[in-house]
Amino acid sequence: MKIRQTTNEEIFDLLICDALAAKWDNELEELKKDSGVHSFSASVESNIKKMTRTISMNCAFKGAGKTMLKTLILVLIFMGVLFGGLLSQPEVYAAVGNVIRNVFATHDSYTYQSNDGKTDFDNTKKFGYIPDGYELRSAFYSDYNVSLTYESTDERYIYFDYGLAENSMLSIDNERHNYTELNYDGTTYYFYESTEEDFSTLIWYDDGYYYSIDAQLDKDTLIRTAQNIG
Amino acid sequence: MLGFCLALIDEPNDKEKFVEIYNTYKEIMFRKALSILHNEAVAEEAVQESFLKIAKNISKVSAVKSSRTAAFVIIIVRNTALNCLKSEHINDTEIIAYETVDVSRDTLKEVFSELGFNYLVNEITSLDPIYSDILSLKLIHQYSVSEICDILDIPVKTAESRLYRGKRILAKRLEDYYNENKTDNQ
Repeated sequence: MKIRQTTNEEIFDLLICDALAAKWDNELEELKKDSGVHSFSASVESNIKKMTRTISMNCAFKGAGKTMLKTLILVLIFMGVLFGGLLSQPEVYAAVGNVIRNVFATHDSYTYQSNDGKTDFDNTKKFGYIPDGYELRSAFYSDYNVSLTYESTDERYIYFDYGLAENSMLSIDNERHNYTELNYDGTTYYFYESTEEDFSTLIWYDDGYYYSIDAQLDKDTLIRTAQNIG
Repeated sequence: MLGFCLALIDEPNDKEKFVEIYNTYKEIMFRKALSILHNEAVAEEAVQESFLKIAKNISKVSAVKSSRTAAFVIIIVRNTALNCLKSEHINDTEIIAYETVDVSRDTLKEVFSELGFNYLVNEITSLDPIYSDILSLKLIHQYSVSEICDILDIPVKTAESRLYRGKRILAKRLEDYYNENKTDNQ
């Protein structure tokens, strides 16, 4: 019943709308029949001109506002595109030998371009120097890389990874680590020191292989470990 | 997305619209005001005040030379002239319990006939302009109640009251017409 009442009212509104349109047509026809032209007084004409000037000023302000808004939109879009483009691009592009280091907002990535002629993979490498208290706990071997895990007596770990460099890639968090580039005996080491007493990372490339050590060790111990791999 | 944003902020020139409205309708508006006020000086003032209201609502006006815009300017000048007279037609402060204006389906069917529609046009023409004007602004120009209040410078309750009363008066007259015709045909 209520739905029917609502529909009836809507139909009624439509009929009234049509009837009003017809009424206005008739009324305007009657008004147009009246003859004679009225000359408005000077004050009315003057006030109308003032209103016109006010509207003109408002239009000018609106126009200026529109132009500024359009400019602002264009600038914002340009900045958005630029910013988006910057986010997708490495902040720094660096290449040292075969190693290409790219820096992004949240991580650094390392890409290795060749093995320097190496084709046979040597999976016998291990630490020549093991920090006190650590022992080899597990080893994982594949055709192109090795992962070794060392554990200490107080349950701390060293993760040692290495493999043939060509077409390999590593990613390291750079938000919670301080980065330093180190050079010892002609080898460039990339050191990521943890800022939260977590794992620090040392990465380097040598003679066709990439190497990576993750451990809760200081820089000097990591370097010493890295320099004694055999 | 860029095109959408830019399209939102493009509008025709309001100043040109206003000048065209003035040149097109000033005579008609004066005659309408004069027919109510019977005084040329007061009628001019009413026309001037009407153009002030039109200037405030110029952005709502679309095509200048259209029946819709003509009706709009006449409504404004008529209400301005009536305000100059300071006449009160009804007690607008009366609080009404608004309900759906109920018109029977049989009555509506009767209005769909040519005779019935002509009767409706006549009844709307004879309806007090304070009702027909507000119905025009609501149903033809699709203004909201608050926009109507701004244009006619009346309170919200007054606008709602006039809308409801206008439709109720028309509904009552149409029901009477239908019942008369039904009796005649029996």
